[in-house]
Amino acid sequence: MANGRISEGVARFCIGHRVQVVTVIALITLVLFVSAMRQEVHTTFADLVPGDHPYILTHETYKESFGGSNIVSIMVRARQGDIFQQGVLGTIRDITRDLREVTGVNEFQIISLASKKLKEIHASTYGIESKPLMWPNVPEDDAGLESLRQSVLSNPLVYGQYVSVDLTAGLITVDFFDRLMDYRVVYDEVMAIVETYTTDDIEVSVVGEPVLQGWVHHYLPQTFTLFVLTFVALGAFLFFVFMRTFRGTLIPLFNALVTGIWALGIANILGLNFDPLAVVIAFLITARVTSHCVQAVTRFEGMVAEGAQSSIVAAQSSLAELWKPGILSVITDAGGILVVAFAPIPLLQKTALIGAIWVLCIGVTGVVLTPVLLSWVPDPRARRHRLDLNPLLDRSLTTYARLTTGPGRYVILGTVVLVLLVCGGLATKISVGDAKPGSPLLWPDSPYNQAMAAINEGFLGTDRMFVVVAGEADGAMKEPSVLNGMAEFQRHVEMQPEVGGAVSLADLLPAVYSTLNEGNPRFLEIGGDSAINGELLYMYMAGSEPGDLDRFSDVNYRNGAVTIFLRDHRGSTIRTAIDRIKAYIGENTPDGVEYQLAGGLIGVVAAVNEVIFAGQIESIALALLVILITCSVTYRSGVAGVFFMVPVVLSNVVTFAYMVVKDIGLNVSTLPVAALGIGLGVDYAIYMVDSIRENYARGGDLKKAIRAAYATAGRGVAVTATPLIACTALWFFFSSLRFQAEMAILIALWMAVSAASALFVMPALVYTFRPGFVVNREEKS
Amino acid sequence: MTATGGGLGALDILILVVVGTGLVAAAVQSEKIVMNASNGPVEPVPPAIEWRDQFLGVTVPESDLVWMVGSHGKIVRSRDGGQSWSVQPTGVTVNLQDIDAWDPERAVAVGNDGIVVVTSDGGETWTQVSVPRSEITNKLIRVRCLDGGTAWAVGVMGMILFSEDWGSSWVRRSSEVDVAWNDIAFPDDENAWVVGEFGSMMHSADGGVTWQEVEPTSERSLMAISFRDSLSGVAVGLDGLVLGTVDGGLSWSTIDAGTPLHLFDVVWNQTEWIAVGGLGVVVTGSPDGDSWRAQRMSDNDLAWHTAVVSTGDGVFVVGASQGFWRAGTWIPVGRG
Repeated sequence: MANGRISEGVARFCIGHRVQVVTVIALITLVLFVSAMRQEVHTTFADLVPGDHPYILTHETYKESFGGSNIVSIMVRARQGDIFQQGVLGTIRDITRDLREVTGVNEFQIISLASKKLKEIHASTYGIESKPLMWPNVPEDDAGLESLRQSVLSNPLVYGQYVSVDLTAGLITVDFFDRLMDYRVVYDEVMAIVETYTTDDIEVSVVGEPVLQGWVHHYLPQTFTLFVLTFVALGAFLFFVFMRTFRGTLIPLFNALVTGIWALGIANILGLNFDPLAVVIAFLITARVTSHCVQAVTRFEGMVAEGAQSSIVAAQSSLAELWKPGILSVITDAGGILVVAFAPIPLLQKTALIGAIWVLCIGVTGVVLTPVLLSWVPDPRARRHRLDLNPLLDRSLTTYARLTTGPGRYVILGTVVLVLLVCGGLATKISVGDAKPGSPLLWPDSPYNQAMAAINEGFLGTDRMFVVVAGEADGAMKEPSVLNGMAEFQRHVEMQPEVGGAVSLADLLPAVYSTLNEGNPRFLEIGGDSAINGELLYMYMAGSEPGDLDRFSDVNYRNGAVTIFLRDHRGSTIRTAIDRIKAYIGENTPDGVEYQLAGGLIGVVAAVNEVIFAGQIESIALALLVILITCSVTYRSGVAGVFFMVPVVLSNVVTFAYMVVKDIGLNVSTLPVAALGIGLGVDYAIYMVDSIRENYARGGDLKKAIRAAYATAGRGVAVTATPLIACTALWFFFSSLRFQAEMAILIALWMAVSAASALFVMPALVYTFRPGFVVNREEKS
Repeated sequence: MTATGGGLGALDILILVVVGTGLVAAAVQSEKIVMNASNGPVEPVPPAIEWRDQFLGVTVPESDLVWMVGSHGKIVRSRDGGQSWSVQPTGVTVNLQDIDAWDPERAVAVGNDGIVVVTSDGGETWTQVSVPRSEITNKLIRVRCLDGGTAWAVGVMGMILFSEDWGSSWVRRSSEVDVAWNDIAFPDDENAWVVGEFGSMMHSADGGVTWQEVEPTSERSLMAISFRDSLSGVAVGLDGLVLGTVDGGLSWSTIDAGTPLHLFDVVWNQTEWIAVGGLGVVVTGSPDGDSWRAQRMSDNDLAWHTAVVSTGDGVFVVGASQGFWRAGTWIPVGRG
């Protein structure tokens, strides 16, 4: 048979030239090690967004005036009383001042009670006068404080936005130039300010994307420690419990290391950086590397047990036997991972690419290098320590075999159908975007999420989205129809309970108009023609600096913004907001302007969610297609292709169902893990079925073939899956990042389903349906 | 290569094509599949009183029946003394400034752009009626309903409008001048008063047919005027201005009410005068008009208020917030 000849040839070559093979691999590893050392772990904003999505285009065009996605909000709260005390107001002023020194800050977008931008308008003997609320100085006496208090309460652009509704907290918002943004530096500098001004009387808390990313980086050393610990624990498991030999322990771990060096080295050469949250994925793939190596070691031990004369012979036959399932699962896995790259988000594409490279490297290390190294084992029967759980493991495997080849298999298959139905139903409810109100990356009691909750309670909301009102000509923002249209639009948007409020030029002008009319609230409205509105704007701008109106309109009053504040950034909240806006603007857009969605952090997240939303079924379907084609071609059987889709569908629906139950949404961080689960779900099953097939070819008795497969491939699955699942518990208990803890559980669950598919479902399916590609191969060849 | 030569058989090809096509179709159509699966957003039902709403006018034609009008042409009505509210569609999108009612069924509201809407079925339907307009600018600020289906409305550009058919048709009862009339009051059948910008006042002794200017007592704008009988009346205005008369308007005296804040409306509440205005101020005056006191309705509510009506046991106040002011206590309604 052609395949057999290739496997034999490869095996003979690799073992025959083992010194050369190892030397070449060692040299390449050395080169790639140097490259891997230069690999940077950082997040680039541009990587997180789908660059050609219309929302992103809007965002990029207007972000520097209407508010970017990196706005940081700092809340200064008085522990006793309200903020109208000199100490508290002084702190707001000092922080506002100090923020100018932070790297990459957009000085014109530092806004607080103490900035020049928050103003009140007075009617005076000389006409209308607009002056900063509290700039340059904090009021010095009680009368001044009381007057400031009244000004704040009567100013809808300040009260609720920059001073909390209960008056106990003030907010400072600051925006950055994206191109100058370095999350780590900004985090350090902002946290230093927070620390400086936190006292017994004053509480300072901070939220915003740069700070969130900073927290993730802050925990990076811990992440790496956990990573190392996991592998030490894994090694201990393998050595003391299952493999009981140094070779069975060190070779898989060594290979995992080599694979990692190769992957990161190649990624660095290709210019792919590594996102801190992708460490979880590194863990996931490293677990696969270990599985492949353990398969090879187990098969090697099997050959020795069957009486191979030397390590060389045993290594050569195990390589020959594992070549096909090994390469098949590597290619299938890589294909499944690459499917993620269809999502037009650079982070996902890079992650998919690194993942695929990493998996393909297993073809060299796991499939080839492991048996080659094993061929040097001097005495394959010696050096086992005494503690032996193998009899226990053997008994379990024998029981499994009896179960899958007896009537018990119908129970298994029934369970599979049940799980598919129940979890399948749940899986369709998966939410796209974040499913929780705070940041899903951190625990609810983390300082960040607590700050988030506090700010959302006192203010309109921390998460912003701007909708651009793009005019056809200069001065469009002065037209009464446009301004009234914007006010109505805001009223519509605010009906959604999760929307804290919306602000625009349409909120600013009525206050000026009313002031012009002796402070009469019956004139709190937009002027009746564009000349009046132009006049109002002119009065408001009198005495202010250029740029003070930037967040509402450009200087020519052609394009304006409606800024919407949301109380959370859950996927459902954002989608509802976007859908309602789209439905509304269709027939309610005033003449002469066009509404353009959507900028700010929420606009960006909305774009990402839409891309993921549209792509979720696509990526599953394509991953299944990869499996269908590779398995059909390898086994020359369409049935085989369909057959191997079963474990993938199973692990997929269980993973999604778990995410639904635990309120984990599909977003840029979780999607790669979920998607890799789809792609990687199949290799245990391939090893198992291929082993049954090989054994059947030798003996012709399916029941015996299945039992034999349990002893080799089945043992390999059990030996790797059990400790890997156990080791993920480390992440769950010790990670300060909720994201990693949740992903650890997700990966553990997925490995469990994947292992269960291989150990129970596939043998039961094979025994029940006796598919041609397993039992009829003699006829075909 | 034949089917038995190690290649794919016809059946295999068939399976591949069918399943593969299905998967490709699912991938290509994924957006549609997902869209069909989701039901779209559930349209939120906004509360009758939204947080952006500001109410400028109010009337209480009978106990427990409250009608408010305000921003964006909104009219809301409560039948249970303000506990629950329902929105009455008007089709108007400009601000409505004031409302008054002849009875629980018949009412009239006025507002910006010279808009007048009337109802004869308790507000189930509101109908816009046409009124005389100024060429320059139109804004009706106050409306008063009197016995027999007559009504008066005042506004900018010296507008004084009169109707005697339950608001169906209106005639102009004043010449066009550049002064905004802010309120109108009828101490008795013959006498009528309007007050407005820069302290302007006019008096009519023939039930509003002819009007005579009155020498201003103050240059500050007057926002509201009210009489408790044919002799005693009070007018309030900007910067805490309070004017009082006890001789039917022959003479007006300036009263120090103890506040520099704007006062926007005043009402006689059977026991005392009550005026409301900016930053949550409430001013109360004794029946003889001698002793006045200003205070905050609430420490936490510094909203402005443009209208106050008597409810028997207290007053109902509207503006940037709404509620009852009863025995010295502020009871907000409508918002959480």
